[in-house]
Amino acid sequence: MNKYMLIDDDDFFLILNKDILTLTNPETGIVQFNSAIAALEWMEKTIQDHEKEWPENILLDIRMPFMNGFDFLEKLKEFPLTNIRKIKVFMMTSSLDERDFIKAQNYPFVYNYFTKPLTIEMIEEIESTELKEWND
Amino acid sequence: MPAKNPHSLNTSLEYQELKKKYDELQLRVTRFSVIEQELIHARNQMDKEVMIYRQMQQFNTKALEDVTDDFYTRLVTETLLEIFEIEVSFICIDIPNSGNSAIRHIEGYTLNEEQKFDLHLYMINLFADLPSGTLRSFEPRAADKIHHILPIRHLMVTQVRDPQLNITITLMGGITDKGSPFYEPIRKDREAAFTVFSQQVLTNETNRFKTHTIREQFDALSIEQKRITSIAENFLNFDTNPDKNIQRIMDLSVQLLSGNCSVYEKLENDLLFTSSSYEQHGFRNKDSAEKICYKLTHLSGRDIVCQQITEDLLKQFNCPWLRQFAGFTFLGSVLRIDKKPIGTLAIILDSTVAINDSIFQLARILTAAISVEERRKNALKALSESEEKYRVIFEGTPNGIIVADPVIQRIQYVNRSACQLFGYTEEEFLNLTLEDLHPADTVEEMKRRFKAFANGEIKMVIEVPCKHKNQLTFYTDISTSRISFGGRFLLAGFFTDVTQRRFDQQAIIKNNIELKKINSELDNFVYSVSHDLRSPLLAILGMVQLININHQSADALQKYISMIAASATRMDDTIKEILEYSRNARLEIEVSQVDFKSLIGEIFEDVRHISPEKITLELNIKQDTPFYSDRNRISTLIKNIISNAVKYRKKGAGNSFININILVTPLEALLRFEDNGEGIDEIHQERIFEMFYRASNSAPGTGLGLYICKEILSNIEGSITLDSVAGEGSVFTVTIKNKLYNPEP
Repeated sequence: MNKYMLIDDDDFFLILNKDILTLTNPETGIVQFNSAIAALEWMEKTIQDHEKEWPENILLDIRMPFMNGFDFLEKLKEFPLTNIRKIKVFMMTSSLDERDFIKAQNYPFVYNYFTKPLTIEMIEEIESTELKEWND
Repeated sequence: MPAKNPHSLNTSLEYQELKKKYDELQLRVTRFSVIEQELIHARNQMDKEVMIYRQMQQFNTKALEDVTDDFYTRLVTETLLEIFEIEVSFICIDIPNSGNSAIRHIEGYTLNEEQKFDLHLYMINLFADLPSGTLRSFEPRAADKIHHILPIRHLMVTQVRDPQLNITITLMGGITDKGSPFYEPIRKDREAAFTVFSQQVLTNETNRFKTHTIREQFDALSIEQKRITSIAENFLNFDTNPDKNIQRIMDLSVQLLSGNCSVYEKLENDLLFTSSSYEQHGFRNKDSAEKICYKLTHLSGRDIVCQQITEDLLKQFNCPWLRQFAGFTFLGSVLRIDKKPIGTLAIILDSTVAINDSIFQLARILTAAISVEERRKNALKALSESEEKYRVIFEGTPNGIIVADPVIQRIQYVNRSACQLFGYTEEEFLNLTLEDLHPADTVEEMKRRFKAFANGEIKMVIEVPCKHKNQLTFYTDISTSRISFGGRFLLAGFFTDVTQRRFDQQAIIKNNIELKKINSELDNFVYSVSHDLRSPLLAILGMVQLININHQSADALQKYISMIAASATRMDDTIKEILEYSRNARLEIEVSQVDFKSLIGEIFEDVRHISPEKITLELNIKQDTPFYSDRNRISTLIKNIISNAVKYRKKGAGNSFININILVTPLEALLRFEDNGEGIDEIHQERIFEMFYRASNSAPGTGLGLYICKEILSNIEGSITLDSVAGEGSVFTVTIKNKLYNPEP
């Protein structure tokens, strides 16, 4: 079962993130997309296919062409709550803009906000982050 | 038989009877003869009477003709001699208050003036208290008074009167002492004829008098009419200068009043006007005229004074030169404005001028006329003073001022600034209407505003479009005030040209929008640039981290190192693109000849290496004329388009090409870049030229390339369009202005 979903338009970061996650835990299941659209398409397909599940952790780049990270988060809101409540989104950005950070806090399924590159310490933090107790 | 001889017996008796009858007959004949004589005499008398009346009729016919007084009186006296067969006759006509009472004519005898006077007086006494028509016939004795004047042995005299006209006619006929013995006294039976004739003469005389009076009145009227005409003519042709008019009134006074000269003295500032003949009459110094005017009027305390220059007056005036006017009459009239005396008009009249009401009336009119002119002069002076004051403000202000009459909707005055503002001359301006001063589409609005201005509802309107004579539109702020001028209420509009201000404001607004756009672009730019510059750097950091992790294979290390190199190159490319952008934005345009063939050759050599696969370039240039523009910018433009074609080729296909067709005309260059690359989806086409917009992720990029292309073209006067089908390829069409004929300085 895939534990991580990587979304970044920059192939280098996909390689970097995958490598470091694999180094930390070679068994980790990883699915990666270089566009948010492709990621959404996969997620939709996954819901229809009852055999598969969404990865628990989504590492999402903000700045991407055509559909950026926030557009992706908006689309994500349209999915069933049961699915959404099972994921943790972590924002990955090279931006230093505080506005992005504030904007990210509006989404309850966003758990943290990291500045690239992904480090071993960040992976440990992600691993130790537990799913929220959702109240209906 | 007694019957046989009755004759003889009766003869003597019969004879006596016969004789008696004869005598009676004789007596009758004699009587008849006497009667016949008497009848003849009576007939003769009748003939004479008839003749007398016929002569009287002839007299009347003659007398009724338009004859002179002398002829008429001679006709009367001659007719008397003729009709009544007498030696001497006279006529005396009394018309009181005319100075014409006298023996008019005496026929058959000669009297001197004194004797005529005495005779006249005698006649007055003779008929004193006697009724009209009384006839007196007598033979004066030698001791009688009349005999001393006129030695006469017989006279018949009668007096008839017209009580209405108060005309008395005395007629006399008579025979002098030395007259021929053949002259007989006028017979008693002619007395009636004499009286009738007298009545006849009186009737004629009253008719003559009436005719004469009417004629005199008519003459007086026509003189008066001439005067009025003269006044009217003079007053109607009045000058705008009151002084000239006063001078004319002075001359008119002399003319109308048959005067010698006129003097008008003003109290307030010692100004003197005199008629043209003034100098000829010795008024050489001001004092003299002043004295006449002053003493004649102000001393007497009356407004109009008419006085003859007497010895007493001359002494009082103490004015030696005035002596020459002794006997003349001075007519002085005081001039008043608002009951205050301001001067005197004095006219020296000819001694022959009859002083009557009409003269006084005329003098008053003339004085009044001068007073009107004086008033006008004061008003004009006050007006010109205030006009001068306002004119300075009016003309001096940089604001255009237009004064209009809101009732007749006509422009009355404009100042110089208004003329300059609208481009019309003052003369042209006065015939203009709102339609001429404002653009056609605003005229209705301006008509409403004009009404509101006129009613005082609004005082100011800003940025009103106005129309110059050359039809160009400019803008003014208009403020108005309502002014009263010459009894009329006018609307004064003050026009301030705010075209520049408006233009500046619009420029500021435009600049503001531009600035906001630039600001947001800059913000976006900083955000994007920081991201794009940091991204490769952060990637390098990540790789370094991986390299530092122990037990990495050599292959892995090699991979990371090459990734570090690629990231560094990407960063360098981004920095270069930012520089390109900055260069286009900041550097001045440098026009030089552009050789497309060599330029594109160089660029293609540079960028073909991005692709590991072969890419074909086909270049067609149609050019008869040199092309001039900014070579560096065009180089950047073409490089961005070609490198896009290389970067976003259909990877792995191996048949990638770029076809470039160029057509150069003296006006522009048309460049068509066609590739068979991945193409651009329709949803991205609209935004592809935006800053940092990226339509594809198939190759690294900043999203600046096409934005820079568009910016360059806006600087060197060109345009770019895109025609693309996703998966098939793209066509970029670029036009650039040829600066062949108007190179930038």
